[in-house]
Amino acid sequence: MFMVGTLVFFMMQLNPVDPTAFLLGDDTTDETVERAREDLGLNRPVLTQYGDWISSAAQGDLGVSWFNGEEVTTLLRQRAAKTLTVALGSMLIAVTLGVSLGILAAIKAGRWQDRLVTVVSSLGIAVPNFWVAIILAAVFAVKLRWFPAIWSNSRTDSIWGWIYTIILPCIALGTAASAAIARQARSAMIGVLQQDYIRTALAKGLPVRRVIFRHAMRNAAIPVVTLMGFQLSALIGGSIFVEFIFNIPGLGTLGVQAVQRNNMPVTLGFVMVTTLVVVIANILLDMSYAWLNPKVRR
Amino acid sequence: MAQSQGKALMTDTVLSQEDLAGDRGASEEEQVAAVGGSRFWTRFRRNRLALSAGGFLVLLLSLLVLAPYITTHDPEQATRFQDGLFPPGSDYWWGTDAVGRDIYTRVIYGTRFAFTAGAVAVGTALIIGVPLGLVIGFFRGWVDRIIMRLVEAVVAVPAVVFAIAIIAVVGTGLVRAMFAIGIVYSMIITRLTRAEVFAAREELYVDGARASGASNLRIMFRHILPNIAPALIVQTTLLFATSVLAEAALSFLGLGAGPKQASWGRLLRSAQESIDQSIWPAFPPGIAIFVTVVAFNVFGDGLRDAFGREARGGRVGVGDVERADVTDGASVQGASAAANQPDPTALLSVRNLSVRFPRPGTTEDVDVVHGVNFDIGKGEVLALVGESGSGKSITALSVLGLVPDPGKASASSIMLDGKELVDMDFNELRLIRGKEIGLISQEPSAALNPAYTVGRQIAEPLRYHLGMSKKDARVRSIELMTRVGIPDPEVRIDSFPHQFSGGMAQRVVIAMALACSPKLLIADEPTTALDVTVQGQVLDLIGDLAKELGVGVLLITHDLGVVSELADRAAVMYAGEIVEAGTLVDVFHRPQHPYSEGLIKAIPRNEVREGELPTIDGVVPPPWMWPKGCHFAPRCPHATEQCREKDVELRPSGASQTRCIRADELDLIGVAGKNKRTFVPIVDTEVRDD
Amino acid sequence: MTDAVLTSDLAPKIEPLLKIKDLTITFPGGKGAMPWQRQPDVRAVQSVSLEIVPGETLGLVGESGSGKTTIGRAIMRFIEPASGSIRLGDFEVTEFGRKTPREYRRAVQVVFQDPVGSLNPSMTVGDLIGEPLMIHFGMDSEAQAKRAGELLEQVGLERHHLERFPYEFSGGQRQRIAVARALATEPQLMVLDEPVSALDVSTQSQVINLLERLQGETGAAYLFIAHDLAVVRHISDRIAVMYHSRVVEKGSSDQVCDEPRHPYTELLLAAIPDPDPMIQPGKSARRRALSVGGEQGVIGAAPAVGCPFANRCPHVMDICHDVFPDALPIEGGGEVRCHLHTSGPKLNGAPLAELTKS
Repeated sequence: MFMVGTLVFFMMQLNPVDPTAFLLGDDTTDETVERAREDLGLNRPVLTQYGDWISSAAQGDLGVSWFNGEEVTTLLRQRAAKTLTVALGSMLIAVTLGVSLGILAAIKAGRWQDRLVTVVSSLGIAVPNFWVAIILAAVFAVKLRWFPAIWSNSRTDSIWGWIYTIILPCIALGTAASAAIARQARSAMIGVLQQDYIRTALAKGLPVRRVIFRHAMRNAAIPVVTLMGFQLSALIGGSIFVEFIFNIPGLGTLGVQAVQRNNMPVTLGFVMVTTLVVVIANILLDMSYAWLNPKVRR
Repeated sequence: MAQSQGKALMTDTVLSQEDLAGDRGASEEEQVAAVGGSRFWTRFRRNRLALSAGGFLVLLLSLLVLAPYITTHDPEQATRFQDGLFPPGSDYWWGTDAVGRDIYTRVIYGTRFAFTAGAVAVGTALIIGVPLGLVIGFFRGWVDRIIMRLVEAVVAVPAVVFAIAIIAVVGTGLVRAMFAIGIVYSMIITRLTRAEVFAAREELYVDGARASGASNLRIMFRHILPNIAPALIVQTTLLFATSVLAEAALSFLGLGAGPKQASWGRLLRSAQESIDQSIWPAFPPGIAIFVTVVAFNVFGDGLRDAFGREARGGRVGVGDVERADVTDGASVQGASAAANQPDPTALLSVRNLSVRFPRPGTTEDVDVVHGVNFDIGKGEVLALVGESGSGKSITALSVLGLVPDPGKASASSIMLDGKELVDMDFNELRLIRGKEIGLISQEPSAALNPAYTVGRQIAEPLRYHLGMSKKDARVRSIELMTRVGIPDPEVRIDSFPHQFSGGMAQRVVIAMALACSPKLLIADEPTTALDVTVQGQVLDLIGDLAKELGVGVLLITHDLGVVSELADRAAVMYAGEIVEAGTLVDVFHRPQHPYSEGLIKAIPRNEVREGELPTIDGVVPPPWMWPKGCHFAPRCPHATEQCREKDVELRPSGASQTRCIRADELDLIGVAGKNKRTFVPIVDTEVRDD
Repeated sequence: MTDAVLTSDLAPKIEPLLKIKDLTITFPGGKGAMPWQRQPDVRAVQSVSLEIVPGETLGLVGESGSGKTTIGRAIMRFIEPASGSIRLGDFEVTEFGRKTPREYRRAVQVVFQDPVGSLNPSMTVGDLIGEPLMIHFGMDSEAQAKRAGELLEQVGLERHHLERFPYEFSGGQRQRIAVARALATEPQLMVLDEPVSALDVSTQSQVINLLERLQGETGAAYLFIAHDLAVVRHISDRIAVMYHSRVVEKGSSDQVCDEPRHPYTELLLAAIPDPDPMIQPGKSARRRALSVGGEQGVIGAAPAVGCPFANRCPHVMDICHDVFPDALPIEGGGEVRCHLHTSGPKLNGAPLAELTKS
């Protein structure tokens, strides 16, 4: 995390464009520019700025938006919930769909079910997820009006309303991600099914279902779990698009705006938060390894 | 781990071309020629899907140049500023967008952006990632640690987010945006290269090269790089695909291509903006992206398949043994007609068992096991002896009904204690497996599921077949573990397989196999993976249990020593057939088949031998090259023309059975150096019991 | 076995080619319970001394965990010993700098157990054998092809095999290719690490016969590492037996295999099953009588003090747990490290069979 922050900070410094240009518009004198820069602390040496930022960031204070003066943390907090629920919802769909299809394909390897799943998932990873979102939005939200196309705070006061609102974006993101998970689950499962202990389990006379769910899955889970971590990262990235398409005021739109306006604190904050989420998720996943693979526990 | 003889001896379950590549002798030429050429191209050519994908990509590539020639409108010039959305028509083949630009033209020109995007991103990634990965993977050390921290940091950030951050620095625009993506990809490439180099470094051939005196540089480029190249090439192709997606995504957000440029992402953006008026404009660019990405993916997958061996999935648990015709054709002489009927008094009686597999690389089926008959009595140990390629393991699996896909087993009878197993379906057989037949397989560490405790695995058949409660099953498991000689069973029952040594793990497997008091035990090379000083104990255990519980044992092994330690009777298999069967004394001291004789002579013995060690010339032929007539004839020092004429039946000779037509006239030499005329049984007079 | 009669009874009067003295090799322990803890180092090889005379074969026999393969790897300088010396002619391997001298790589060659993994799958046989020719003799491709062809014929293959890839050959043939590659540098010593363990019985004999013939033709010395005394006996002039990081007995092959001095050697010999079903039951009985102790087989780390075989030895005494025995020379050349010879019953170098006579 530390590295990420440092990295991005110094990258931002490389940007030759002066942020004050955005703030003040075209019509300024050199004096005003100078004063603005001083207010923002831009005149201090780079390292000092860095030191300040890091220390306040560690305390939870990410500074103030250069654009409109709001506190960055507040901004982030307002929008995080939306992005996170979309990401988690999509993850749920992706995992359930992907894992079931992957297992199905592995069991029926070589037969039509496998071929179908393989083909569909190969196509699935090729589809741009935001395109799916566009089409879904256009068909179900705009034309058919079954689902909302715009975020409205009133509707989302209740849990169901919230779900109702995010279900389309989640489906859009989730199905695209499920393709990758299905492929990984299938290949992991096939690998496991060729192991000796599966043959032993069959030789013990156990029914196929038990062999698969008890014996095979636990061992096939590890590569899938690894992929899940990566997918979550991709989903958070993907949520940027769906936020745009469905007009959800989440982290993504905030981030893009900040970059376009060269709003450094917000950009930094955006990157840090998204990274934080991914890192936490990965830590949780790492902990699950211990449960899945006893050799790690020692 | 002890001698890995078993695994490396390539047990004959699933055949692959390599495992059975030919050896010396005339047939060698044909075999090598049959394999010939470069494996990669033959495989790839066969994959028509990948080939068409490749062709499609070439077509797309050509559009880069041909674009102006096949379109009629200007891709960037807006012709109207309102009311521009024309539907598809003769003038605008795919209609226009909101400002009147022809969609068809823009899509075609979009290929330029797609490929530029891919080239920039992938190029950046490779230029940075490959050398970096090579260096840190090979040399490791502190450089590795630092760089990997950096890589992890970048990878932790969602790719799009990081790219956006980089764009914030370098500015927008297609090339810059793709450069940003390229940086992210380079981390992926670095990680992949590093991992591949890590693995390749551990390969034995790297040691071999080092032993030859190769320098580090040479090893890196001449040995490792060519072997990791396939993985890199595949990954590059796939990255190309994702960079097309990424370009579309960034341009969609307005961070990539500019508003007038005809990138597919941009097209989607304009479509999105006018989405409430018409959905149509969203389709052409979306489909274009989709199709291009699919083509790259399919091509990449095709490359991957052509480079290596994709995991072969077999169906879990197929292999019902089908009924075969009873009559075997010619040579039915009085005795053998009756012999073709199963023996109802035996514990296990197998008649006419054959297994077919498709020959690797073709669709034709070949027999890998042919016409096998044998009987096992209660409490008796029958050893099925043979080298690799003999078919002994598959024979054992067939009895269990576990021949892996795509093999097919057939027999006229497999009778277990009076019950006919042929033609039972999977679920009927399942009840027999584990309950009446137990399996002990070769490598105990592989046979036990690493994720569950030993106790749960032993208890599983108890609870499933006998319906025991958890408590009862635990008690019985501890009993079983004691019986097989595992110390402190109350404690070890909750340990995991990896916490046991080889010999102990094998005892666990034996306990598991015995759990439901089966009638028959199948032991498939039970001691090959163990140290020789541990081997004897495990064999003793199996032998004692057999006598004590009256369990019949089918012992599969290549080691004649193991046979003589444990077995009562032996059946020697060669190239899919039983060539001799009889009691131990008969087979070892009065062999009735030249192959048995050869095998006995070639065993390493703890004695002084002058001159060269005896060998058997040549090697075992693969199933598709079994000669007409006696399978052993090409290697047999006693073969005559008659031997090669027609297939030989198993027939009695003395007290044994043999497949050699010359058995009566030949004086084959047994293990004591005497033949059947001169051998006189002398029992070792040393004290026998402790 | 070359000149069996001449070499079987010697304390080496000829200057040894390879001299290993007090070699100790350790590996770092695995991860401990806490991130900053490590498990204790694993002692793979402890104070091992061996010698090989030019042109002879020393069989190094042991089971899993004995350290025999580790010694081979140390001689090849794939790993660094913790202490001790490995001397080949004028080379002192433990004093090499970062780069191993090319002349050393020429003098010592290796054949591995795994015929599949030891040959680079993406190189042709010609490339594989040509590589050492190019590195050590600077041959161009034409000269390489010519010489490689000769080497192939020497190992019983044919010239046209030069263009083939390893996957096109059987296990036995691949081992022959590996031998040809090793011979290319005209080495003085060949380390053969279980070269036939992965082959079928009938192919084993073929390869051993080949190795013997080549030794006669080239005069190279062999270090033949194996786990099976019976396999090793035929080709070895002398044999060293290892157990769990220590050499316990050394001597001529006949001596070690017919009149063992160390209880572990005796157990090993008794445990090898005899294919003769008339003899085997007696042998099994003997084996059972010699197998003592709870957990069989080698587990855990080798102890730093005492004899590693103590917990399995039928003749164990108190002193065995505390002190690892010194070497006692045996008549006929060779040595044994066992308290039975120096304390307790004081066998003093006589074969173990003497014990049962009383």
